[in-house]
Amino acid sequence: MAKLICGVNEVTNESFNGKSIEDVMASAGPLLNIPADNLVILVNGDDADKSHIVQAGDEVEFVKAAGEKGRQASLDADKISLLH
Amino acid sequence: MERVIVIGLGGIGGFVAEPLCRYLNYEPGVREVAFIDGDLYEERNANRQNAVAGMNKADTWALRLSKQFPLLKIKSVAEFVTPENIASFVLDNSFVLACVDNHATRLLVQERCEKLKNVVLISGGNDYFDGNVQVFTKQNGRACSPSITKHHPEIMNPSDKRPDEVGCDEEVVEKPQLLFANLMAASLMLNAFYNASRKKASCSEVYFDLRQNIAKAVKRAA
Repeated sequence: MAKLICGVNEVTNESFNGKSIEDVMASAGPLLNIPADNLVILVNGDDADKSHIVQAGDEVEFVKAAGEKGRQASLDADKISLLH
Repeated sequence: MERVIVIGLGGIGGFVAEPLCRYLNYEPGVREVAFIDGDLYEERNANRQNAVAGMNKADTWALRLSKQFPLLKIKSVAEFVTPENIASFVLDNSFVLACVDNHATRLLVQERCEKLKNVVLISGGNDYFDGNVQVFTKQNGRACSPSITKHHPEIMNPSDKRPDEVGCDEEVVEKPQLLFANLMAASLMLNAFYNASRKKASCSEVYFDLRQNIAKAVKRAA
């Protein structure tokens, strides 16, 4: 199973195996609150892009931007599902 | 380490200052503390910060905590850090707690810390409900964790300005902040400080989210 992480959110699911990161973003993006801009993607700690094919056991992190004084985006994104 | 330097005494720094000094005053070890902030308290800070409008933030905390914790040598620097002055304030063998609200200052502090031989930089920030704390460590000239810019292009290429760069005629857009988000960022920064001061294995980044009431640590290679 592959694990997707963004900030405090994470989800593990075998259905991600064999899909591109772009595809898993489309399905899990809203749940994980993945940012749209300046997105840094790490697969098992190494930089990757959206074309990477997710393998079983991969840990894919969408790096959340550092906090910046009450940024409005955080307020707008107040629709997180509890994934834990 | 010889000292603790707190840069920014606003929403987060104000919550860092008192417990930090209480801990240092009663534990053997570091006795030297520097508070750095060029900002003045304003009436609008009263929903999150305890001070008198018109007073400098660094001066206020240094005065208050020097009386409270006499074993400490607490220095106040009533200036913003700039490329011109940072080398005289951010010294080697220091814990640096960056409690600032803009990426441009974070970049400046990171670049300064990269030039030092022994330093622990702990940088915290928050949005309305969530935020993060990052830790960059150098020991004997070797980086032991990634820089705070490495996976954060928003810090590496900041779109904001340092406070010293904002002109008098430029409007500063105030965004709402939640007191408890400041408090949680401060608490996680102090946890990181404790771990670093005790040389305990530490993560390089911690995220938190008040809506879910959780914090999650991430460890990344240097």
